[in-house]
Amino acid sequence: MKKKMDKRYVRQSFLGNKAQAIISKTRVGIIGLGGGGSHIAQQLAHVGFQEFVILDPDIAKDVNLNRLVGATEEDIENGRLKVDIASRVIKGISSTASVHPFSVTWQNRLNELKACDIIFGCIDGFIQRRDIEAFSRRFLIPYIDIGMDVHSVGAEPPRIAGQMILSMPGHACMHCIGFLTEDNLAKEGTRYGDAGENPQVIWCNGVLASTAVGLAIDLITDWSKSLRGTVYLSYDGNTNTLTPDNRMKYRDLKVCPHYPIHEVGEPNFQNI
Amino acid sequence: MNVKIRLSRDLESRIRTDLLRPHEYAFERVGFVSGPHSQLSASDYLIILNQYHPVSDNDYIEDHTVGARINGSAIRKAMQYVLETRNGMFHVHCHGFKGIPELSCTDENEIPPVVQNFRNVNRTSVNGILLLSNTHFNAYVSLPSQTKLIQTTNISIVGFPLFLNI
Repeated sequence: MKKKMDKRYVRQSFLGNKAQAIISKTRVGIIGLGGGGSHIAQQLAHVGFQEFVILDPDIAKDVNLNRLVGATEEDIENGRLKVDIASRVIKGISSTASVHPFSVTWQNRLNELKACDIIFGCIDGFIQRRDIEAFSRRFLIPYIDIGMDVHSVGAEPPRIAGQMILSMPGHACMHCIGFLTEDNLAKEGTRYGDAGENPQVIWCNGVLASTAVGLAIDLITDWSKSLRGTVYLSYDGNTNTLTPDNRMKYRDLKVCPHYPIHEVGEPNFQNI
Repeated sequence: MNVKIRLSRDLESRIRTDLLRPHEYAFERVGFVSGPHSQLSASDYLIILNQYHPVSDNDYIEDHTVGARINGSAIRKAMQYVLETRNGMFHVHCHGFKGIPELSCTDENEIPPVVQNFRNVNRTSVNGILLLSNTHFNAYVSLPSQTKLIQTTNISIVGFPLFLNI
């Protein structure tokens, strides 16, 4: 069995001698198992990750079949949970993987997430992203965020836009890089409960998810020796390009004032 | 029991920089590093170290039979911090070679009583010993429910690159 496993990863041996051992011991958390998260779960399983915490409260519906990797018509008919579909995909690729699926919102399984070495966020909305980033920073966990949306601009063709962000504790956060602003958080706050069905397509989710997985591999193996700061890539689905966001050029990204690096860990009461 | 320890690359760098400074008469330096813990389940703990406490030059005792010996004042300062913050406290020092470092005979005899002092101050905090080598880490942890030190190499350094001590 071991020989078989060793052979499985021979095509990615360029990642380094210890890479497979590191990958197999890295515990990943995936929040949201829809269009983005299902891609990420599948790819992480292919690469050799063995420890998964996956969270999504939803069941798969007909409207998800255009992009939910691993989902079948039978899953829809049976009202299968998205976490169960992702779990089946992961175990189908790697039977030795340890998968902890939770069909609840991420706020209900904080202890499981605290134990993760990397968290992937594949959710809608700025407020949720802000909250996951704050949690990840508090517990010193790198957070990788992906998302996309389609905007209508008058008579022009629809614009597909998205992002992939790596938020590393101690480095520039999503506020620092201008992705989260008081304005977009406030606007979303006024629309609370009225998010509606956002347009989503599998090929854009795939580009962002693959980039996120590539980044995670580089982060833990350091194979490229080039990943040394916050990453904010903007996706343009109309031109099929993924480029560093322009705002990164004009921001002071040395120290994050929003999440001081010494203010980490479980908060406790102090004697006064 | 599964114990996981995390610290930032920035904190690791501050620890190493301080421990590598020469001292007038001690052969090596020691320090303390502190932080809170989360109990994730009955058997799982996460410790996040967030502050380094260097030992003052004048708190070293001149003793050429060991690499470094510190006085009661250095230990009392660390105990006071535990008392005031309820955070856990780890004795930290470095063995200058590659691979997972192990406690020396002197370490085994002399550091656990220091850890017990922290436990005496606050029995709910998680204290211990953090050992560094040039490339890796090792830790011995005193949990609230146990008097025996538990070894863990599940230590990660969070920064670029993410280091998982494997």
